Amino acid sequence: MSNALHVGLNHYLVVSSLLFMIGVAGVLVRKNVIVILMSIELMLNAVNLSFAAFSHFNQEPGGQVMVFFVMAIAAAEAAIGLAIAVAVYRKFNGIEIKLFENLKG
Amino acid sequence: MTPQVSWADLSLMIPFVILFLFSVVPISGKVLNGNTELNKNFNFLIALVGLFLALVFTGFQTVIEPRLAFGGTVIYDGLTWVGNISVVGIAIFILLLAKNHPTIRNHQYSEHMFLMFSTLLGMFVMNFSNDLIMSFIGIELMSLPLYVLIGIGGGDKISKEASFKYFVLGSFASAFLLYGVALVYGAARTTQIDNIINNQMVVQQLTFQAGLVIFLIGLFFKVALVPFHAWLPDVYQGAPTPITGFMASGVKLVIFFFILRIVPLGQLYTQNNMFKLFEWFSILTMAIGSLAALHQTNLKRIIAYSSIAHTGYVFMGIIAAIKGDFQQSIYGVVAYLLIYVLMTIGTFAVIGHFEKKQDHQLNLDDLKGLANRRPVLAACFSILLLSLAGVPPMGGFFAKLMIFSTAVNADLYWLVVWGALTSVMSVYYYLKPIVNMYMYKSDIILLENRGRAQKIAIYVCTFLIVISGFLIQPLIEKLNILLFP
Repeated sequence: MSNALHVGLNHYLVVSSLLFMIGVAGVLVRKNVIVILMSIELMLNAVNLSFAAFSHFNQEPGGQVMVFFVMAIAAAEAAIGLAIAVAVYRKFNGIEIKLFENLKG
Repeated sequence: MTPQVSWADLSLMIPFVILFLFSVVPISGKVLNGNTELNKNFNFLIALVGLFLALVFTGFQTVIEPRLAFGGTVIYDGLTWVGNISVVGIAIFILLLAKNHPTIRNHQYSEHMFLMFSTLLGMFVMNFSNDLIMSFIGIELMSLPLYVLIGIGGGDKISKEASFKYFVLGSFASAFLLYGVALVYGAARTTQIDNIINNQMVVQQLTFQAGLVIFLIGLFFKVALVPFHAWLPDVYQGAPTPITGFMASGVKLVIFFFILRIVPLGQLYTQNNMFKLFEWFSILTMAIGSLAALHQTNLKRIIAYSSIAHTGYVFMGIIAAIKGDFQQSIYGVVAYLLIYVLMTIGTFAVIGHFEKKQDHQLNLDDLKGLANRRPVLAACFSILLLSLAGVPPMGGFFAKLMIFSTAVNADLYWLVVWGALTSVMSVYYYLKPIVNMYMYKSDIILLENRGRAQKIAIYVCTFLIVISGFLIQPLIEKLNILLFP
């Protein structure tokens, strides 16, 4: 296989934007609180991929440092999200978003 | 390139470090004391001392000229200074509001304190940030404790629901913001705002412009401009009232201050039609905020919608800053935000003052006959509401006048007409509580929770609003020295 596929910046960006869109769709469509949390993590990881790709192809190491910041923040966000999910489960006896009907108008 | 960190850079962070140290005192005391809360008044005093020390140290670091620190990621100029001072001031007020509020449970007071200080530190990071990734960290540091603060309060369902709604939409917005930062970074190879502004080549790139738009959408989510506002009324209603006050004042203030920092980038958009869209955002925000408030009965929800409408007025000032004279408009926006902060904190202090227990929701009818029983509080509430409506002798009028006049100077007549129309509309729902308080008699006796601290906050806010007509000229002169040395 001499003409192996050359993976360039655009490939990474396309994958990253697809992952991001899957995350957006997950947040908008899914009804389960845990799946929504996973979708948000997916969005953040998609961004990490594009940071790393830009950093590699622009020969600019700063982007990889940003990935670490984002990973730390994503971990904190996941922890808080799950804590809120537990609190919601205790009050509502379920983690479906259709239970959230006390606030509207 | 090794980053140079000098003592001068570190000295900028003194208030930040003080706040952090004081934030861990109550919670460490709780841990060392075998997981039982220290004396509540002691914790309150510790927090108050920390905030006053931070205020004094920030006050001493008066700005002579803007400077960058920590390799350019941190900026220290007049806007940072004004932002830091006002954010610490807001925190002092919120501390007073939360002192005896029923949603702040006594056995979790030190956690509450720690989370509130963490939010405050996030606001500081936002004020300091000269780097898009710094601003992301600031927003997250500000939002994450807020998600918990909303949910930690009550035993009721609505605070959990509000917490979850805010969490999902807040994280969603942060992810958008971050994606925007990634695209900007890819195009400009840097995330430092001053480098980006000075690089005309980069700004013309499509990747950069797309990134900036996505970044701005993330910010608009956080301040709840109209296409992205749906979370705000639910969250403001469900959150404990002191925390609602914190969100409505502090979070909005710092994010708008940050938007003022990237206004020079907006100037490049005159070449492109994005502007028209921004004008529509402002119009829709004013209109929908005012219209949706008209038929509400829950008091907190009314103020939440009015907060959306006020966001629209501030955004009109920002469009004026982009399109017209930057220097004139920035005074308008900053002065408006400062006065708006006082008005909202005062309003939420009054609402919080009449909430007896955790899931008590204050409705319009509950206010009937209040003027007979509590004449002073009713008068204060009326003054604050009239100021929010923009009735002449109060501070809100001068704030609105400044925003409208900057918009007229920037030839944004179309926006000013909408602004005037929605202000007139908003008078209706601001007058409803006043009418209920003064014109009706009722047998339901609205009890207040015993809180001298809240009363102090109400009286100080009202006093400042009443005299702000006289204060506005010295304020602008002071801002002139600070923002444009």
